Amino acid sequence: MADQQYFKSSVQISRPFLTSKAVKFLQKKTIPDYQTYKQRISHVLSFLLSLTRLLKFPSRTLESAMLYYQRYYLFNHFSTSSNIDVAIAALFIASKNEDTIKKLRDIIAIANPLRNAPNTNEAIEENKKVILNFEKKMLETISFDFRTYHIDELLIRIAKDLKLSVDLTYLAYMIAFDSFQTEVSLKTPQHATAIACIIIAAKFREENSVFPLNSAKYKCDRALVNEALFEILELYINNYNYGSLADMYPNDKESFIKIRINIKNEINLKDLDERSLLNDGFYNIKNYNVSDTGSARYMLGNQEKRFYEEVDAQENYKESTEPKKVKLH
Amino acid sequence: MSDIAANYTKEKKVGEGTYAVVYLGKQVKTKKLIAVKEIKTGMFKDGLDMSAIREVKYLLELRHENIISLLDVYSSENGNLNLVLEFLPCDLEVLIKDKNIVFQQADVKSWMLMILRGVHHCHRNYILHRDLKPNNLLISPTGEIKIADFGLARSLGSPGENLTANVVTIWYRAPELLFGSRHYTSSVDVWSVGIIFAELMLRTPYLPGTSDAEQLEVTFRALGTPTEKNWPNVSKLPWYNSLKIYPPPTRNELKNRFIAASGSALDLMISLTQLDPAKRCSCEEALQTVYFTEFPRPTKPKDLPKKSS
Ligand SMILES: Nc1ncnc2c1ncn2[C@@H]1O[C@H](COP(=O)(O)OP(=O)(O)O)[C@@H](O)[C@H]1O
Repeated sequence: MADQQYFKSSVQISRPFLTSKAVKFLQKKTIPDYQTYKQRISHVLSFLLSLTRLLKFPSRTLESAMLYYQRYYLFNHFSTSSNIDVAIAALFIASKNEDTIKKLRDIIAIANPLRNAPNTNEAIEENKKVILNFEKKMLETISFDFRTYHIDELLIRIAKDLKLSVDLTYLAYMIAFDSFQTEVSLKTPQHATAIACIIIAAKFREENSVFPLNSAKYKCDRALVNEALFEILELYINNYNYGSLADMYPNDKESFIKIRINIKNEINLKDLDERSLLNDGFYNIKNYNVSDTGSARYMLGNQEKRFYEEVDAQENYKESTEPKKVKLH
Repeated sequence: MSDIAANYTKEKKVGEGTYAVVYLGKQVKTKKLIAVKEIKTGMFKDGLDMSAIREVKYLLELRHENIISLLDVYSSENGNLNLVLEFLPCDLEVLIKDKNIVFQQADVKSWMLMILRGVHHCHRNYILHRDLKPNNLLISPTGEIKIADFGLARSLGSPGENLTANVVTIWYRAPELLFGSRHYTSSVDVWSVGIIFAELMLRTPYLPGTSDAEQLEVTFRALGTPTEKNWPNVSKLPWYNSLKIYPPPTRNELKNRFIAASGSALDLMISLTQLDPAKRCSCEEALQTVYFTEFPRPTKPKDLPKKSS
């Protein structure tokens, strides 16, 4: 009996950040056409931005929503027929978590005209069911991990500490906004991203007094900053028009290519090899059947040690309940 | 009887809150009693309740002997979220109301010490509880106070961020909240602790208003009406208007109200219940007052009064 239940339950450990390779590995399974996915993400960001403005949500709610949206598609199949519903579910969860809650009905009623969907009572009720269903799946995907940190809050504090001009801080802030459509939030913690935004802004404006920038002062590993730098520069180099800098500086794409070439040499990114990914259950596509028929347990990454201790204890427990063989001589 | 995985059993229902049903159970391996809080969800609830989100978010990160432990988070067969908590069979409100029990000054000191330590731990992690009251202060079988119910908690806002003033049960609600302030700090919890301190000494609620308007009246009758003189800029708060002006109580009046309180106990209560939040002490300052070092020593938790029946 006990054994049966043991097999039925699954454990979900929340790992807030993944390596680039792990992200690619997961997306290969869930996203059939990556180019479409990228186009959609840019569209989702502008859709959620409009929605956020109409609902008067702060930018931190938008930031969390973009994170949940991307995290969802690491473990669930991507399809263009439902990705806007998933985006609304992400914004809804973010609004709860960021203390800016609105009724789901009201969010849908404002979203429908933006997506050219009918806005009748029945349509809203129908859509509500769909979105609540996505909410449930998304909560499981994020392992009920509601810890949030925000790039812009950290960015402004670090900018103040570095005594950056208002102008430069604003540019860094715009870059931070553009970063919401990159995968940086899946990979590096927010203080590393904030520092990367400042570095890109300062290099772009050639404000060299900012350098050398000691990221260790902000308890931030240089390698993480580099990771974030690459991720964000990739957006400007490959999809300049998706970013908001394109409006302000339509002809400056080249500068970003130069910035990347200049920092490329310093960098040596470490990554996991594929074999360790294949052997780790964390990287499996989400199977809701486990939590439908059995039960699923959610732990934060910092409890991982405790989990393995429990597993060890369980093994020892099994051993100790085996009948002991008595030696006869 | 149903089981959440092999680790815990869920036995009888012991209570029902606004957004959850609470069951008694056991940790299978240790036979330790636990409480399982099953969160109600569904269409009419607009998905997962925000209180549940807050409870999971803050309790998973806070670990302190005076804060309830969230042992595990599960989703069960029916898809509901289950929070596995340590089992805490009693709360401070039950003891305050139990007239068969006599509170010694050392007992009150012991409870205050544990409450302040727990709240201090929240505050040093930039978390505001926002609903401190005797029935959210649970008591373990060994007498320890455990702060529970983080359904209204939030992290300290950044400057300029608007917070809702509609928090804290009104009897324990700080004056800045009664005036509708949208920018407040951990001092709202400190106020609640001060009012709980008074209640522990009086054995009856100190400021039992019956409505928001009456709460202002009751609060200021007891502690004086704030004015620009003792609280600069108070008149700019949204709901500050046409107040009846009561003088602040003299020390003698307070002494007569709290007959058994020592001089330093009174000093502490006065610092905890300063009308101007900027003048109110922090938990850290409160913990360092002479009240906690002078005699009598705080009672050991295991020797504290227990439920009589
Ligand atoms: N950890 C616990 N141990 C024992 N009983 C508990 C525990 N937590 C809650 N309860 C019981 O369940 C009831 C409802 O709890 P809760 O949902 O937290 O209440 P509310 O929504 O009113 O804050 C409480 O009044 C209490 O009797």
